[in-house]
Amino acid sequence: MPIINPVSSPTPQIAPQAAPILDVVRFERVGLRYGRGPEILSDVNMRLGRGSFTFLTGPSGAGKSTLLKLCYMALKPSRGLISLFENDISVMSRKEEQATKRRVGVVLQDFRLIDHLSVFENVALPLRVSGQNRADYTRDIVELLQWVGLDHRMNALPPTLSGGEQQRAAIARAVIAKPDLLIADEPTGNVDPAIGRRLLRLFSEMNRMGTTVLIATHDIDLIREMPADTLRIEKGRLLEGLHEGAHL
Amino acid sequence: MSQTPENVTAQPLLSAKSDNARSLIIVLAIMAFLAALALLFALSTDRMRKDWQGELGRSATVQIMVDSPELRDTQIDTAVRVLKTAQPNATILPLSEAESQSLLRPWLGNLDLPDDLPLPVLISVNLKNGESLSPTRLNSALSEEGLIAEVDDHSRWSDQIGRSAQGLKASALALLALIFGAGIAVSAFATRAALSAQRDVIRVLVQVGAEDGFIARLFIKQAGLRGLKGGVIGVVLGLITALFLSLRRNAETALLPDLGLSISDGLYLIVLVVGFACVCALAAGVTTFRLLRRERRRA
Repeated sequence: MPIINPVSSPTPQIAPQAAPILDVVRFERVGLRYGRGPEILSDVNMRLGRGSFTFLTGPSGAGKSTLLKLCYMALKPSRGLISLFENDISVMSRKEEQATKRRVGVVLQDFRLIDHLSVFENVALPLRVSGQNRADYTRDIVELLQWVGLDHRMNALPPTLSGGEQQRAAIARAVIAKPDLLIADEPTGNVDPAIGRRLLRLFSEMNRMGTTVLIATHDIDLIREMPADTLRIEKGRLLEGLHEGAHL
Repeated sequence: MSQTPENVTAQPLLSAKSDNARSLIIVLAIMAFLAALALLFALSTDRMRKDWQGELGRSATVQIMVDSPELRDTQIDTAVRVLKTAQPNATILPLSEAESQSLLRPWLGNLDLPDDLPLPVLISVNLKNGESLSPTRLNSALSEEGLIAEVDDHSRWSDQIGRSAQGLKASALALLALIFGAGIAVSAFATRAALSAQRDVIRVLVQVGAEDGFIARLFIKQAGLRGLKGGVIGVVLGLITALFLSLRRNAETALLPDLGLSISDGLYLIVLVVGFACVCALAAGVTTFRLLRRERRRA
């Protein structure tokens, strides 16, 4: 499916019978610096189309995590335009911002599980925040925890879990609300290869159901296993993009 | 083996262990205790003022200057007749000489007064409820009978007592307001500390899309419950103290208001507890919104 790239094409041409295409993520000349320091990200142009599956690779310190932070609005750019779901984030109200965040599932390297809540409660968090009834989601969570292999640990507190278990709990929390955009930072970094493949299947399955997936990873095996677009970042600049959904 | 969720209801999102909940409740309980005593004092003072003013307002004292001891009884009879005519429903009671002398004891002590010391005749006039008395009219009526009389309707004392009692009541209410102000400050301070202690939780909540109102509600509920707990403990202790003081009340402390309780006092105390909890919750809500906004601006 052709995707119009407004950055490279000043006069976009849409095929007359093509369905309207939603840019889930769009970066235009995005730059980020802290204070008066040097730019950590420079002139990032990127588009993730709806339903795309994209890997973001690059060496450590290249800016992968920072780029992801911009995608899930944990940071604001110093310059340029970022739009999520076709909405410019710089003009979003607080309410719109939080509503947008509810459409985004995030798996971070430090997991960010709440220590005094059980695995079940941690996973339920996005659903509680969006005001859903416990009775309506209990079964879904139990099923998801079975899928990620944590059903026997659902009442455990995060500090008692291994790194891999915490990672799986964080992934379950990111996907439980069936987000439109899933962002994961090294999601298979702490798990054994079998679990890693299983998690990748979960992401793939979600992608098949329409979720746009962006995964930052070093894991070449993971990239090889999954036929998907790849973006490479080095020294704060995006270098290449393989299609179909992701565009430089 | 597969499990089921242990808790039927959702676990609280804010950790109770991460802040000094117990210390905070103790502080709030002490404040509620002081607030309860201040409120009971204000209510009792008001009640005492009404009682005293009511009693004074329903009575008057007529003072007759007797020309000579021989005429004393005749003048008393005349005065009583005049007073009965003027106030037919009132109880007219002339004080005996001994009673009149006893009234001087606070000033003169237990001295044997000389027999020729001219003491005025005092006549107590006790009115029925709703009845009024005009000192001027009574004075004229008594003068017409040739009596040198002075009618004191106690309004001077009544006004003074009223002003004093109002002052005490206002002081107690000011103290109550101060305690509520301190409650706001304590709750805001505690919320600030809790927000800091629960920073990681808030960061996660913000990341999963929780709105400020959702986060504020967590702190409002927590502060409200703590205010309620502290309020109940403090008010119960205040009640016990008030009852104890009321039971220990004797002639020496009779001028102090009796902190004895009425049903309306109980209702006021319930309002106090609820108000205290609401104030704590409100302070927590305002603080949370303000700090979240500030954090956002900083980010």
